[in-house]
Amino acid sequence: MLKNYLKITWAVLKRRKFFTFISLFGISFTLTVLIVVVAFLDHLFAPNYPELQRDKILYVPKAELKDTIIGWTSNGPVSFHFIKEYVLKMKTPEKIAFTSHPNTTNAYSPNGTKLRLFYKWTDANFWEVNNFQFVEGKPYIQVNIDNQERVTVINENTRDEYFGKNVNAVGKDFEIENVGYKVIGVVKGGPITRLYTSSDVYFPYFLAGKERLESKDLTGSFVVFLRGRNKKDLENIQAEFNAMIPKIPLNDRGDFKPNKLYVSADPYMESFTRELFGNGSHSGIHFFYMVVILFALLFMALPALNLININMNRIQERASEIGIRKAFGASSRTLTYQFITENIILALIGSFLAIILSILVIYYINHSHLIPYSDLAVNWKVLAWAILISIVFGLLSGVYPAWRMSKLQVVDALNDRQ
Amino acid sequence: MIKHLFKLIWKKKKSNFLLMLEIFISFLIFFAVWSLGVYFYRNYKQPAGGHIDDVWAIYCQFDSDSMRVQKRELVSQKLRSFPQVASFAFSNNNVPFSFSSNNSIITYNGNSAHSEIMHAEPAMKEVLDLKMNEGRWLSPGDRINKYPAIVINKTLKEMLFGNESAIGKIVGEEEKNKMQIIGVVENFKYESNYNKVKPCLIGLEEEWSKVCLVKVKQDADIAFEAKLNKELTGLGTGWSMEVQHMDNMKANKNKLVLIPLLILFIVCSFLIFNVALGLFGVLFQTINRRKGEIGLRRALGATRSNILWQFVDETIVIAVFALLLGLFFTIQFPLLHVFDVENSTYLLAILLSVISILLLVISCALLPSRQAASILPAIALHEE
Repeated sequence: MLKNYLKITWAVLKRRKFFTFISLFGISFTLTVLIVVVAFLDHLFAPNYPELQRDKILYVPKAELKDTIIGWTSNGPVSFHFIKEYVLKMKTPEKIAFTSHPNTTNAYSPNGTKLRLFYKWTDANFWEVNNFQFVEGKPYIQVNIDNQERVTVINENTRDEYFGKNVNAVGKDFEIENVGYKVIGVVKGGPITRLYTSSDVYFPYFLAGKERLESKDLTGSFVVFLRGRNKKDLENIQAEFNAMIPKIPLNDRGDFKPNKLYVSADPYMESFTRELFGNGSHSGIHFFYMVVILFALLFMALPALNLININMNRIQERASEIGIRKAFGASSRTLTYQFITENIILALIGSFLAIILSILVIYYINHSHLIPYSDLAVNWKVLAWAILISIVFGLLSGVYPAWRMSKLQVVDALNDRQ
Repeated sequence: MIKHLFKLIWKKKKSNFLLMLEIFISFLIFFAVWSLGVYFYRNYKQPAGGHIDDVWAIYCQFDSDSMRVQKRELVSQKLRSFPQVASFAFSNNNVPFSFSSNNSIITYNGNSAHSEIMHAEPAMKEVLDLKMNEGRWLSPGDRINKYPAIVINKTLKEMLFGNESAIGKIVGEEEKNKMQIIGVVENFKYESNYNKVKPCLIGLEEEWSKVCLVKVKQDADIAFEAKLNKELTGLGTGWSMEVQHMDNMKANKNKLVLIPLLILFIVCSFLIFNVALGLFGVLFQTINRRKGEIGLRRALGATRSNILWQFVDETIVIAVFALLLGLFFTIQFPLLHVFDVENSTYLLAILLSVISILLLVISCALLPSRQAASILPAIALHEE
């Protein structure tokens, strides 16, 4: 049966090359845009270098203090005080790590170029919950921190600009703001879109300065990673974390007398959507999915309409075929299925072209330095999405014309009259 | 003739419905693209005001917040000692073209405006090369004013005072929020070249801001920057300074507006191209089907151009139906003042979209119609 459909589709496609071209152009262009969008979402949310363990990590990106009586709020990343006094005492996480949000600074290399750098303070576990690839050297460990060694890990790009391309940097002095740090390791850089790990320079956290480490505020400048043994562990960690929060005493800060603390440990994607659309206890993830799906449907609407239009106009061309098949006993349903299958096959051919096109577009994006270190890719997940989208598209543009075609009266069809 | 055409299309509204819907959606897309295009282009054409190409912003991070006034004085003294520094002013974090913002609602006599609030030292005027429209700029002596003295930009002045003079007026309702206007400054762009100049007021900073805007002379190069950075951070332990060039900051902010716009334009132009191809194909097919009718008309004495224009006109009539529907929706934008955009921008965008749609439709109709016009009556009628 399917073989028959394929044969018919092939014959129809070959008959009117111009229409085939229009249909394929519309489909492949639409899908290319959607595939690039999916690849970008995948780039943002899937576990990618260096955050390969995202699936078993909960993130605590920020806390919100609220005075529910006056309505004042204050929010920001959590403080070192919060981490030391509460988070590090948690029992369920297998590993706890933290890092600061990125800060910026300048460095001036010995050969006279200016570098604009992002830097972070992290603890030693940071290197274990993230899978950085070391080009040379190694990360700092707890011993380095305990001994208060002024060491740093830099990324490849920074090394190339500061010391010269591919010059070994381990053991050398890296100077920022008149202070020299000993380079202990050089990592392969990650894209800036991975905010929790991306940076040019990493310092052990004890260098973050007295003010940050000794302040008794709950909000400060750090992000926490809570790693479980596996995905299922995360629920227990979340439960312990949520149970801990109400017990934290809240201090007044001048006029600001907070009586409620909102802070949550979220899987990566929720931590992201909470920032954008969440409020209070809602993570906003459903809203996010809805927006994405709505966008995709709206975007497909015009090309689908175009395709419907073309298909409708080809009813005439195929009227005799429909008439004959009906006269020989094909039911409306058989015909509907046939046309829908044809359309889906067309959409799949289009998606094949789209995949090739989107590989080109993604190659261009990766090499245009719009996002430093961007590693958008068409992987099997993106491919699966592409095929799913193309089937939806085929259905969207095929159902109505198929229904109309199958409704043709035999006499009219054979008579070439509508 | 026109009435006749409308009747023809109306009679076949069912089969033309999808075509109309498609043109309607294309019209909406054109409207969106043109509105954005016109809006940003108009903003871009506004004079930038001020001059920031040789301004650097130094972000200072001292080791702690204690004794900040003294630390800043140290930095100021050091800056004064460099011959390459023309002038400098400390300012709050929301300097022009930065990513931070500080805003609030300012009221006067029932008028209110959402205004950016900058605080800076009086030298900011020389550093950014600002021009006064009326009144005078801030001076150190204004610190002893009963209400904090402020300078407002032209946009804010027009929103709060219209044509009246703003000098000496006191804005704000509660006693502790009151501020007195001493001058009106000509608009200067502070978000990006493509953003409208929003209301803005500038007051004296209270000696706790940590960004220093420095106007440098022509001979300030990268070596000087390294030296500046080194000597300033060397003034204290654990200090950190970041030097950013304001022209780079501006370029970044411009890119942030332009790149999404560019992506949108590329995607939309592909969408429209897609529609054009579809339209072209559908019209070809329709005309093919009406060969008999064409043959008959030709046989009865219609000229080639008669036929050509009949088909072009028919397509235009379909487009007009779609446009009427589209106009009904788009005209709501200027009527309801959706978003903070001038009506003239919307109207111009509507006009441009109508022209674009007509051009698109006509260019898609011409080739199939010409083919229709070249049909020979004998052959066409023979086929029937």
